[in-house]
Amino acid sequence: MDEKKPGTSTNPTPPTPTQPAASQPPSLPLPVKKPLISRRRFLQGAVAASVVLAAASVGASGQILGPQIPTPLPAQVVADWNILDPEYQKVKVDRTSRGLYDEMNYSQFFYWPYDSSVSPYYKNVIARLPDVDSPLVNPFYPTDPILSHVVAFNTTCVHLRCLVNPIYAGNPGSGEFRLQCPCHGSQYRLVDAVPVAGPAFDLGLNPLPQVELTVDSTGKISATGMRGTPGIGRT
Amino acid sequence: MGAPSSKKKGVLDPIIDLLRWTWERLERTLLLGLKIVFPSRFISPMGFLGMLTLIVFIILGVTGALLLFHFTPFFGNCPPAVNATTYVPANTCNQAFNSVQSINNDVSWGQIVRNIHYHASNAMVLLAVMHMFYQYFGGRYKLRYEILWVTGIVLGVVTVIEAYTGYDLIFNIRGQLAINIGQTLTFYSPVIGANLAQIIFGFSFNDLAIRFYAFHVFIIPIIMLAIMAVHLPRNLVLDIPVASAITGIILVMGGLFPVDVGVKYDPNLATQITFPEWYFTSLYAFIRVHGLNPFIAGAIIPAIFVLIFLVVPFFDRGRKIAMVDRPFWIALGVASLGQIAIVTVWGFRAANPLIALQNENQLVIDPTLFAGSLLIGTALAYGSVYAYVRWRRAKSDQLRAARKPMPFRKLQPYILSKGEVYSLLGGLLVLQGFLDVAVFRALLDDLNNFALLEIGMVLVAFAAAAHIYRVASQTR
Repeated sequence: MDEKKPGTSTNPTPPTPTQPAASQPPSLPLPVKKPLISRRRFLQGAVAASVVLAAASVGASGQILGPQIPTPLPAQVVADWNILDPEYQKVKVDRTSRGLYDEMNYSQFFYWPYDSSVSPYYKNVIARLPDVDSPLVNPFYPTDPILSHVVAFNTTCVHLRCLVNPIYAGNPGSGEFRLQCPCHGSQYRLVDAVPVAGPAFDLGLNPLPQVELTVDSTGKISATGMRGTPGIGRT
Repeated sequence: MGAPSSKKKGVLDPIIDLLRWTWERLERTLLLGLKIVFPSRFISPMGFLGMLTLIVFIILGVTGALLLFHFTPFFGNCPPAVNATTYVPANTCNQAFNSVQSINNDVSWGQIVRNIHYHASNAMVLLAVMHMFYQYFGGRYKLRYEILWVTGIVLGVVTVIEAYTGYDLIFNIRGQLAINIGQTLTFYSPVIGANLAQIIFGFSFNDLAIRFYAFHVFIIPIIMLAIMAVHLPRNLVLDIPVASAITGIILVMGGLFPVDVGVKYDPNLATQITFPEWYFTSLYAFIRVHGLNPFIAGAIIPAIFVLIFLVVPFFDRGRKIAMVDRPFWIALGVASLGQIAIVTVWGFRAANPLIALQNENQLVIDPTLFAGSLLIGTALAYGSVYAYVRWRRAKSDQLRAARKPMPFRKLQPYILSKGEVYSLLGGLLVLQGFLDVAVFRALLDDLNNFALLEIGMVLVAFAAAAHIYRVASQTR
């Protein structure tokens, strides 16, 4: 920068009248070195750039606010058809309140894709679909000989995140097998977990997330994926 | 003889010198910049409710610090049983609740400290709301008090959030309901909802416990202190008898109504019907209205309510602060009080208050009844108060036009009549009976909270004695 100052002050000082002046045309002054940017602009730019950089680094470090997400469990066995089905067959004939319609002895709970140490919102239910009143068939696997009789859903109610339980609503014989929320009474069909009563139905909320299943030759049922998000539902 | 006696050094002189030395040096600090008035005459505590709120905040800080030593901010692991009928909860399940239970049952003085903490939290919310409404009706958001007013409203909201994080930390089914609702509402907030929910609540329940612990113990109190630094007016009133009465009442409440731990939350057991703390039942009522979106009910409506109070000083531009000169704002304040009362009562009850609550379907509130009661209640409150204030205004205008002197109530020493003395004595007897029953209950409860009751009574008695002495010396 200091070199430019003599350049600008060359005009008042006349060139020495000697030989070199004759060889060079005197009308041509020394080239004035204009500063590329002024000092003020440079400072402004530097401040702006550091502000942007600081903001970016703060924004990037904002990730420290986010939680550490545990690694999800791999596909794993969550139930056994050879236990689920006999339990159902035991209570199938007993059509009293202690039997088929009282408490679902043929359903089980499991935590997947995160285990029970992570969050209750990953609690799921797997149930042997009753076929006494009207044959209920799992619409996701209608042709599979075993999975057509089994459903698995996440239990986090999409209304306000309480955990639903399998119940029997209505009169015996009407086939109203439901998942019911103990907090505000939302009810979901057991077959496909679509809301049919309560706040979840009134507000037109999503069905519960569905756990995708596979079954091997020995009847072990495995969870392989989840369609939907707990608390949000299947979209 | 006077000069030698003044030279004689008393025993206390070094201490007095030290105190004077300290006091003179303290003048260099911020501490003595505050003008703290210790009133010698009785003045209405309504005027310094903010100071009382601060005192309760300090009580909460002290008791909360003691509770820190025994609380475990960890949810743990609740493995399910294959067969639901043979389920036995694991020891590792819900360790936060277990630690609160051990504070209540095992830690010496634990129940007493927790009792004070709980009742002081309720007192703080109540005092803050009372403080807000008193200043509102007094027009104390004008006269360059706008910043004090706005910071006060923000401080009130932060206080309620602080209380929310506190009672969620217990991880009983009541806290769990609040966590579920809070998480749903945050998740459904637009654009940043999902990220915000993960930042506030974390991913796992252990995240949630440690995050809420950090919020409740450090982050929100620091925010409150920062807002308080702006909200604190330069002139403070510290009335020792009233402060000790408030402290005593909190302790007495802790002795009479000891706080329980609630029902443990266990994801493997079906939860039960429960209601939130009293300052959230109004929100809970809105959330339970049939067909009303939870986000609108639990976030938008309260936000609008708070926002109206926040912007009041920028719409009530008049110079006058007397209540007769502000009929619209006075009526609005009374109507909002009525609305809070109606909605809070709705929130405490099932949909039909006349029928005992049996199942969760009764929780759904009929929107026509709800909105109807709300509209009629607030309209009645608004209309009657507005008409009354206008009538008072017209009357004083008439007097002014007729150039008659305004009637002023002359301050006189108040002498109780015979009937008043008898009714006062009767009331005291009733109170005595009530307290006897309470003490008997405390006896049955192994005197767990008897110490609390006793200390509270001593504080209240001191306050009463100081008050009576003050009033008596005033009338002389």
